[in-house]
Amino acid sequence: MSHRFFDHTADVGVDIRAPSRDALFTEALRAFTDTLLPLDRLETPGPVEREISLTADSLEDLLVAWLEELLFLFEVDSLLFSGAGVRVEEGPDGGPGPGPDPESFRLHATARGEVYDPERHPLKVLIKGVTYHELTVEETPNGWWARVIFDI
Amino acid sequence: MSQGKRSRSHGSSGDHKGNGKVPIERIDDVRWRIPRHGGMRVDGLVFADGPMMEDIRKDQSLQQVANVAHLPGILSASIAMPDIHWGYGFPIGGVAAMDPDEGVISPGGVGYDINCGVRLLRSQLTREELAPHLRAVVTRLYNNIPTGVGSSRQDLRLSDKDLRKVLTRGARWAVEEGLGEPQDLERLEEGGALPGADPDVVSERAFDRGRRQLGSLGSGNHFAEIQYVAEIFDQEAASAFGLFPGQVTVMIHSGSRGLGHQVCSEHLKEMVKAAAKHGIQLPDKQLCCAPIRSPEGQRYMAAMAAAANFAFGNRQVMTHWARESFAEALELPPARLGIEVVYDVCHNIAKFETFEVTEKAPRGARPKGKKGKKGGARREVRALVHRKGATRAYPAGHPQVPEPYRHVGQPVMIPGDMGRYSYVLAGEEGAFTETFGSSCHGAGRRMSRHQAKKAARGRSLLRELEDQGVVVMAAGLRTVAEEMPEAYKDVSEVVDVVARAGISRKVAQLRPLGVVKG
Repeated sequence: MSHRFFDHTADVGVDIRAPSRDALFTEALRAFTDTLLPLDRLETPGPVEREISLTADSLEDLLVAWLEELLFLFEVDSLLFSGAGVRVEEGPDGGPGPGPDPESFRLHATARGEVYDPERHPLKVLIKGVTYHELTVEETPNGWWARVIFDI
Repeated sequence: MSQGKRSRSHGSSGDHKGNGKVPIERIDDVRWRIPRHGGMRVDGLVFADGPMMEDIRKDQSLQQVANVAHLPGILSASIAMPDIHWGYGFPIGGVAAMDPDEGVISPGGVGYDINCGVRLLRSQLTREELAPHLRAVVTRLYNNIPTGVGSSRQDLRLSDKDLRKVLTRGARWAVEEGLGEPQDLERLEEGGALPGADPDVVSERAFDRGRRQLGSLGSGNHFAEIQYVAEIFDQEAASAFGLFPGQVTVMIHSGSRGLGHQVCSEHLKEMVKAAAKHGIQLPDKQLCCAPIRSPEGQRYMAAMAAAANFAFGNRQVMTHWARESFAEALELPPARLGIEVVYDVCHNIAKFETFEVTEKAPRGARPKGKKGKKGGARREVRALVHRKGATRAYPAGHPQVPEPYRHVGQPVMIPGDMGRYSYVLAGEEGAFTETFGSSCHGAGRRMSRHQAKKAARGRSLLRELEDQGVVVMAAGLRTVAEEMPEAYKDVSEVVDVVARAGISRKVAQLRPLGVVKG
């Protein structure tokens, strides 16, 4: 698993690689946190645990929803995550409601981290949003890769 | 939707290919036309001089100008200001006016930071009077105005009820709470509150993100800057705006913070579906939009107006704390300081506005209906104007220009970088006839953040700026490196083009003395 940052004018892009789809989402979390501060500043595993469940119509939308959730938890609850166990499922969600279920993607994650402490956690930048520009989630012969650009 | 395991659903056209394929014709010294082609409904109209156009061609922004011209109901032209650069879907520096009946509204045409804008305050202080207290004032500003993440003031805790009032009443709410003077409200675009805001369409998540952020600067290119009036170009307008040489001013650049971002993100998703539902063909998914009259369009308009009002409230609260900072540091009564609002402009917004245009104008336009006669009859056009990185610039005589400024035109504030200068302009008639009352908004970056950090390596930027007489306090040193003066283009070149084009004229140049960054 790895991620590599690239420059995108005023913003920051990241390419994420992982052997499996689940691992790709775990690495996306690490890339998100790494954008904010050096990952080695965080305890692993951290003392705080959060269960996160999300659904989306596509894998790309699920990736954006996942990163937006992490942004929300950072901004509102001051949580920084260093790792997560992630399970991504696809197919009809079988939920209640009229009409046919759209084919959907679901994510269940247990994220671990700690509460942001300005003394111990020097921030590199702040992420303001997760964009759709060049957004990609793809399976390749060598595993999975994703590209996402953060608005900062 | 069946995507399988390989998918690339959001790729946009022209990535990393520059503008090589976009046809562009020079109209005159500062005007360029992208002739209507393919699915474009109108021409593109770009304001730039020759060297600027060389630069603009290097990124995808001209393609984005052409893409915006595809949107249903777009009037006259897809317009770009000289500070145009690559954005998400819409270019930054773009103006798109839509027919109220047939047009669309697009969150991408407003941007993530809804009602990001600039407020300028004037004082009765001179640069010399401030000099011995400068560091103290910058320190107070830095302490009083929360910057960076999670930073908020304990004495401003908003209940949901309060926040709902902010979302409907904007700056007015803050003044009613004692965070400002009633006359402040007379000198804000739209009086500091957009009509039609509905807190009920703003999600709980947006409320959560906004609750602690009112009165905070944020990060990136946002700032609060103490400046002095270095040069006056138009004495009559400067006097009307209350500006004199050597005078201390304060400029605040900020927006709607996490609340606005949340509104934008949520509606982008909704609009991707809405565009498909309404059969709108888009060259780039990030231009996603909905008919203005559709339920999706109306919902976004109401949420966007609420977020815009949050931003107006945000800048008003910071204004109050800026006044307190000066009073504390100088130990002078507020009356002696005379800190008053010059004006407050939005540069990421969509609003209904009314224009009187001649049949043949705006230039480069294709008027609806009959062909225009030369110098033809004037008619009124109501339009929904998207300004993404563009500033309203109404001319003299317009009823929406505050009475004390009406004989000279609306003040337009154009921030530069923290080492050189910023400008105050006045709106001109040309903006009304050509650009739906719009002008430029800033300098634009010359270097990426990474390039700037590299260029800053081994240097003490704080020391360098201090040697130039600028005291900088920032939550993170990285921000200072990324935002250093040479990372930005020279804003005077941008301002020269809009002046030569007759969109707005130069009134005063402001130079920095102290800067607070997130």
